[in-house]
Amino acid sequence: MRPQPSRVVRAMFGYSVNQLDLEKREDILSLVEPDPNARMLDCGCGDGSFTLEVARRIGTSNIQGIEILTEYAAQASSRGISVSHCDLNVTLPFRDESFDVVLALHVIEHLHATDLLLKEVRRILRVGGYAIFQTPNLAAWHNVAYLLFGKQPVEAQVSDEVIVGSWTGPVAACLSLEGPAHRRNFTSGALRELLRFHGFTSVRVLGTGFLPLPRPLARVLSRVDRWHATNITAKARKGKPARPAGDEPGPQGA
Amino acid sequence: MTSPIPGLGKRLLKFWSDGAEVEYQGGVLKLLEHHPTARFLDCGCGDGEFAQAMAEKIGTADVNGIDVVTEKIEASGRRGIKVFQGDLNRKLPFPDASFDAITAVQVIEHLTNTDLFVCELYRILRTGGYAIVVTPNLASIHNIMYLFLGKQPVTASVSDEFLVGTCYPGEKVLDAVHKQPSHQRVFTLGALKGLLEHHGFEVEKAMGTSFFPLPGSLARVAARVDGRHAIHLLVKARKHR
Repeated sequence: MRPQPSRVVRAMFGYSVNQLDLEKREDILSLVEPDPNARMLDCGCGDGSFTLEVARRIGTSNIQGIEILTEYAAQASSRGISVSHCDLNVTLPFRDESFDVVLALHVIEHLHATDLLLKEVRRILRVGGYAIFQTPNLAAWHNVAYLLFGKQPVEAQVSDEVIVGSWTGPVAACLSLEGPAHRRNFTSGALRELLRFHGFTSVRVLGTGFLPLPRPLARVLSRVDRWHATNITAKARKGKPARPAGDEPGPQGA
Repeated sequence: MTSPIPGLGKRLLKFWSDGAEVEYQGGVLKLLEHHPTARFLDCGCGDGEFAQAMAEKIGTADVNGIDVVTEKIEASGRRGIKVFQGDLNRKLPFPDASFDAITAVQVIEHLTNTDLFVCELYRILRTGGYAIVVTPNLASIHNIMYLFLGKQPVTASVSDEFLVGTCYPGEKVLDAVHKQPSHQRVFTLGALKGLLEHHGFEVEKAMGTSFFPLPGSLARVAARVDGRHAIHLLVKARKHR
């Protein structure tokens, strides 16, 4: 009797994740601005397939990627993306103001030098350029439910080797740890305030996806209750420097 | 979210965090075993005050500490603790099987390399030795409340420079609660147990201490009944053959 329900759960989970995936992509594509001359950087580009999709939407062919996993980096290169094989926890190998668009999708939660990445993204953006971030939401309702049961949210990983203390049950097969696992977990307010703290302007934060609901419903709910949406998508711009260069950006109003 | 009385939230937070500190320290002292010839190491010993108290409880004079902050090391040294300077994200500067008891109080949540740290604890413990790990609980009642409100739990910090997204707007990192570098990973009871077991430890005791928002003895009872939602987690794990 056991395999039957678990197959159903797995199918439901697969469906939800698929819906969420579409939602995630849609939100990013809706935030980019068409500009055929844009220089674009995708931090953590993976195999490069979505990088190309975004580039197509922007209308540019000037695409740079960063990827730490060798296998993915090779796949992205074979797709025609120029890939730097480097770590996002250290200074990025690009000159100041060398990009118009920087993407960091499901990347920032894997880093321990969170502040450094945000500073680096701002440094390599030209004035007026923008960055798009996407990360899981620690305050998503399913994570709250996990915590109510005393379980570790699957996204709040404590090890790079195993998922422990969590309820993975029938979906364990869908989860895999490759490369460094998650470290810091954001809520939408935290991402917004941190981006402002590091000097970004016109910070816009959206809720994306609402597990386990199907897309039309998730779309509405993630907009109404963005604090508890499954993912957070943020777009932030590098404004004109208000202070002399080299000055530390001060805390912005919360 | 401005509170009607300025600083009330922060004062309440300090009240609870101070009370909770007394609780988990008492819990650790209770789990330590009397062993006058024990070689004892406190990871992240800070100014050494609590390391000294733990050594007294064990009854040993062989007290070692390791910390990354230079001033803390000097303070610990003045108390007669043998202090090493080192980053707990890297290999520890001790040979295999050098200690009988190791404590890591409010340390593991600051590390990015949690797997290496637990492996290293296991390596430098002698067979039959034990480690005690204390860390804040992500699943504590107040953290669940924060998440219900869509706020960042203070303990789940995302920056080493500024406290963002919490109910305490505009705060520079809270000195009383947070020290540099800030937290990287936050645990629940099952996750802490699971991590130690994954790296070969046998978990002997896994419990919670303090329970928001209850005072003293009530909190102790609640933490015993529902440790998974307590404020702090306390795990004692042994290295078996």
